[in-house]
Amino acid sequence: MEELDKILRRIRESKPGMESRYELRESIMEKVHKRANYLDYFFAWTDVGWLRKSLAFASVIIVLFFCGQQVFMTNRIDKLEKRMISINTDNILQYQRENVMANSVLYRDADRKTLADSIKVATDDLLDLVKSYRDLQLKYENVQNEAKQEKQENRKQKL
Amino acid sequence: MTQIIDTYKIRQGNREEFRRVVDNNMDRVYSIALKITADKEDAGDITQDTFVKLWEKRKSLRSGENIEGYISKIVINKSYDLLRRRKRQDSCTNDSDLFVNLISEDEADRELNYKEIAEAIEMLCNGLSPKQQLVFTLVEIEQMSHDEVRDATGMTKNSIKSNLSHAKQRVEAGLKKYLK
Repeated sequence: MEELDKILRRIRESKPGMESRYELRESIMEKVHKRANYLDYFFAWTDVGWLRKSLAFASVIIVLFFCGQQVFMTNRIDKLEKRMISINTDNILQYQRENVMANSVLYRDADRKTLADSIKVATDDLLDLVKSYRDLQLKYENVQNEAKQEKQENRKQKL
Repeated sequence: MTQIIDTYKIRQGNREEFRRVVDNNMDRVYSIALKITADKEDAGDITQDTFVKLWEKRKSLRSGENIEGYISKIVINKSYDLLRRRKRQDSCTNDSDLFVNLISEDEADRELNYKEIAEAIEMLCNGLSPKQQLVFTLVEIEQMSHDEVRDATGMTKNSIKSNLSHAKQRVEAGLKKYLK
């Protein structure tokens, strides 16, 4: 239809200048200004592409490291618990009077509940303690024997 | 002269760069909105809303993205929403002299003002459904290709073709009545 084509062509070709263009633009900028907030100002750097990717990568690494560390620590704690020896100090004091090596009781069971006044020491430390105690005991016995022998010799000399 | 827009700066919230986007695109946006809605005030409101929405969605802009295409999508969708909202309000002007003047050879060189454009489109599209009006305006007045209309509106090509065909028939029938 020729008339329709004419009308459409005239509508297409007409490019009138917009009335109150300046006001409209300023109104848009004012609305935009109201929508911008402090969060946008402070966190604009999060829009930097390479920085976002780097931070995401770093966060994955940190999470993996944390998980690995947890597994590692749990394993170490398990191993330490197996090496721990629980000793009842009351019992030790009682047995020390007689014979530590013979009467001390070592609890190697890590799950066993300990008493409130008990201590926990490592096997190596306990063995050092027992060894030094044993050495002292041997020296004490030697001194006692030497004293007995001296007494006997003195008696013989008097007789 | 249109300068290249830096989408990176806009994403970062650079208002001076955004002002340039507004300056470069405001006339085009207003023109599209006017031709779809056939109302000066609505076109002004839609122009404002389009740029405010662009500002709010600026973070979803990708580097090198065609910002004009993005703006077109927003303005077309906003105009279509308005057409759907007011589809029951038929308050068409009935000035048959307008069409006579538009066809007249004496008037051929005179540029139409916004009011005349809006009235002419309103009269042409009177009785069309919002979809038909949208497709008719985009294809016949804005001279967009079917692919461009599909990208901007999300309609299928078949839907565009059938709506356009029905719209043309109705517009021609309506025009005949005015020119009797």
